[in-house]
Amino acid sequence: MAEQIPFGAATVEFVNNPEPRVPFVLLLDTSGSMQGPPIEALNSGLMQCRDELLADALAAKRVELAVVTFGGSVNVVTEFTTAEQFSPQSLIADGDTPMGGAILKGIEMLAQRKQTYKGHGIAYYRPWIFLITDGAPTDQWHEAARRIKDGELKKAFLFFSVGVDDADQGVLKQLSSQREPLKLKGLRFRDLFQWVSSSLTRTSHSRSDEQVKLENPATPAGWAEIPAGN
Amino acid sequence: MWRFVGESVQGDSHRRDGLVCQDSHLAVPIRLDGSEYLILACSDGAGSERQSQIGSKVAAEQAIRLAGGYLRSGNPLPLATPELIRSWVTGVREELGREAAQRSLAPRELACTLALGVLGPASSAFLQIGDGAIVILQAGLYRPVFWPQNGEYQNETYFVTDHDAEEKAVIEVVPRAVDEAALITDGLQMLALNYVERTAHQPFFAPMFKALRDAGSEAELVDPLHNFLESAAVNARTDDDKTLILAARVSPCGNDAL
Repeated sequence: MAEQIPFGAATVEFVNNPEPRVPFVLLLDTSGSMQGPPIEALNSGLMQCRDELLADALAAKRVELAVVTFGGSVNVVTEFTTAEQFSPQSLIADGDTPMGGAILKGIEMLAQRKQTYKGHGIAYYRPWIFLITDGAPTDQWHEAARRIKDGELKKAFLFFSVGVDDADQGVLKQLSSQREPLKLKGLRFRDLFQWVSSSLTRTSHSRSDEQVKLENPATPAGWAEIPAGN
Repeated sequence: MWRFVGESVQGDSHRRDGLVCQDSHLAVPIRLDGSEYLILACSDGAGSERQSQIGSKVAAEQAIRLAGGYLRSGNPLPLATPELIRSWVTGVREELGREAAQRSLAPRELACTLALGVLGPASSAFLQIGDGAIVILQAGLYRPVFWPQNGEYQNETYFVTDHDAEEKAVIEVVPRAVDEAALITDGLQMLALNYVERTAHQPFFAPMFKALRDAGSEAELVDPLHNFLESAAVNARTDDDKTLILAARVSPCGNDAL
């Protein structure tokens, strides 16, 4: 809650940039199974996401990214920051998959960020939580699922999940009551992040009462598929 | 005597998406029994509806017609109750319904916000549904009569076409003459309003009203206002349509206030 005290760093940040914000939380699986090509593709996807947000003057000022990883433990790698200030560090894959803890952390960070916005008179758009995993949770995840569904009901955020490789799509399906989990085709992280950045850019430009219609990523040419059995 | 100038300009995003400017504005002076009234309206068509520029035009015109009709029937402005002003919302929504039916559209497709100001010699009335702002000079300070109506999220607001628009409408009758008033749509909110203090940015409005008063005629200000709204400095802060109406009373209210 340190951000909320007056004279904090946030005050300077919001005085310099009073634009409305699109908060975006990435929950990234960095467990051991992501080692090798998957984590490399994820890292370069992150860089690309930042570059594409930067290429749009308004999105660069309005979209705020936060990155939470779950590999061995839950780590806040990046606190909410605009693309201008975002320098993705290279993620390393190791350990088990505490997905439930990461989800709870992401939801808590969002609630706090909204308070910070309100305290500084900053308007904001509906936040996004975007989870990418190649496995199954190794911790308790039912409470996390309940909190996601509760947040969806209260329109507190939009929740997306994407399974890579042998991810447990069955668990992902139980996380959200509004959106089917997607399955990444191969390691097309670049295409995924291109879709993410262009969707966020469009959200950051959206006008009064405009629900941004997202492009369907699960087309034959898209990066995702709806897994069989859904 | 009133001096006023207004302009609506297409935003960058509308240009890119092939949408026309969906904002509309209108200012109509009325002279009654030796008193000068000015009625101002602006309306922002919903960005999600491709025909909403029709709605914003109809809404601004009909709101002015209803307010003007009230005055022309000999009703004194200070006696306009909030309930009466609220009935204008119903009138505007019904007109939008008729317009939609004629064009075989759903009323929703004409969704738009509405801001209305009626400035009289001794009192003023204001009505707003949705975002945008009416800013007036009061006791030497510019203040928004209402804070823009947004939901929790920046891209949520209310429209005159909503079934509960009457409830959502905010109304204020000021028992004083207002000598300077501005209407803006949400495209200018970030520039014209201070979100932390929830006030108007004095440095935004003060020089503009000074220019309006100092100009030899309103015509001199048409190009500068248009160029300002199209300027890179403004477009760096918004890519939405933007409307600004400025109105100033240039001769004192006279004796009719006494």
